[in-house]
Amino acid sequence: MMLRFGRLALMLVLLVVLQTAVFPHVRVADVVPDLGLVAAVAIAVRYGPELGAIFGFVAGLASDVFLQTPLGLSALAFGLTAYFVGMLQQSLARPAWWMNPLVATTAGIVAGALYVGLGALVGQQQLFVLRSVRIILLAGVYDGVVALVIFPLAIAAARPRVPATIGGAGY
Amino acid sequence: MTGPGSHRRRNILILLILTSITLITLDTRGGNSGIGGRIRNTARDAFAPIQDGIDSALHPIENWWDGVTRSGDIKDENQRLRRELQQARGAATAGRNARRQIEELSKLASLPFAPTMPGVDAQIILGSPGNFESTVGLNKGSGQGLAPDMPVVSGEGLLGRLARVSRRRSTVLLLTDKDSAVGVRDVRTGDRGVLNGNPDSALQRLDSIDVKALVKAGDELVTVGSAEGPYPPDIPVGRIVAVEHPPGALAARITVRLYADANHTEYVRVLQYPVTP
Repeated sequence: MMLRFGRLALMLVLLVVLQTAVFPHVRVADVVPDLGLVAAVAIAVRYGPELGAIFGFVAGLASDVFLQTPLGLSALAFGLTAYFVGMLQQSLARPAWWMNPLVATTAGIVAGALYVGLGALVGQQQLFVLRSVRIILLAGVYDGVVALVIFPLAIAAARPRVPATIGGAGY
Repeated sequence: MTGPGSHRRRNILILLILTSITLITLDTRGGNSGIGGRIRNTARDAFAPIQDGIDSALHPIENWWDGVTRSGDIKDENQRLRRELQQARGAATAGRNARRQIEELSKLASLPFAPTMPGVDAQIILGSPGNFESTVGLNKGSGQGLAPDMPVVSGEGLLGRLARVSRRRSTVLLLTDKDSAVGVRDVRTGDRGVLNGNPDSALQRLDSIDVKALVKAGDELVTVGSAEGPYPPDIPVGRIVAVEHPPGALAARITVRLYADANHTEYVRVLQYPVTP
């Protein structure tokens, strides 16, 4: 158990470094992907909504530290998105690997919409503009692209020592 | 769905929501000195050395990439010549970059505005890590005398103000951010207005200006400055590029091009304003 959380913590630090020090240099169409969200969604799809939501919350909190919006806003958006993706996945067959970008793109758009909507509710009205729609869509596509790398990485980092039973939450 | 698993799931969800709402409330009320601000400052300082290292490592790669992307049609040349050409162009880019840095620093050293105001020179090292804000990160913080709300200028004019400051890092809220507003004065006519941030365009909108104002394209705008505000008076901000009078509209539509552009700036000066005795 400790080893698993150690791996997840290490991956979180790696994602924060990439998000804050590398991806600002490689903006595409002026957007960056949400690496923490993509990892949380991968974990939710593979290991269930609880672990996905907790990882999403912590990863969102780590993102919030480097943003101007209130601490907890990304955490809430990422945690809720991972939770609902995990819940939805449990009632469906596990997606094939080539579906991962589609799942990540959809999750990115949902998380972006939650971020903007919840942000406007807590006084961040500057987020509630037409420009945000373009950003959410483009960032969602970027999330889908990085999912090709982040999904296997996150699933490997969150793998329990005893293999998960078929249909179980896995932790 | 009603077993202990679903109970635990629901409890986790409720816990996450309540924790998030508590954090958002504490951070919104506490500002930079509250618990949220302290968490932010500690985390930013902790990651600062890693960011410095990666930034240094990425500079040569960026120069090389610049050389590759500007190489033009070199299909007929062999592999060795291509590599040499790219290396040469990378070196040339690095040389141009060094010359530009010297020019920027020279401008900062002899700022025509706020000549007597104390300031701290800093380097822009990061863009925004998020998608919904126009900010840049500086390599200096409260340890070098910076504080929230201090104005930030380049050699061209006003760039923005400090939004967050930790011991070793600070974040500049650019004039183009949706959350940014600065009071400006037309140098020629004396008319005053408010320049609101517009991240969608290189051109900004001048609002809240008197309907009888006689401003015209080409007029220069400087900060109004006030005792309460973060900006000192008479810092160059931009130039009016168009004044339109849409039929039926009460006020003219005035667009402004800012002098300072964070995308083409590496060194800035943080003015220590208001000046403490």
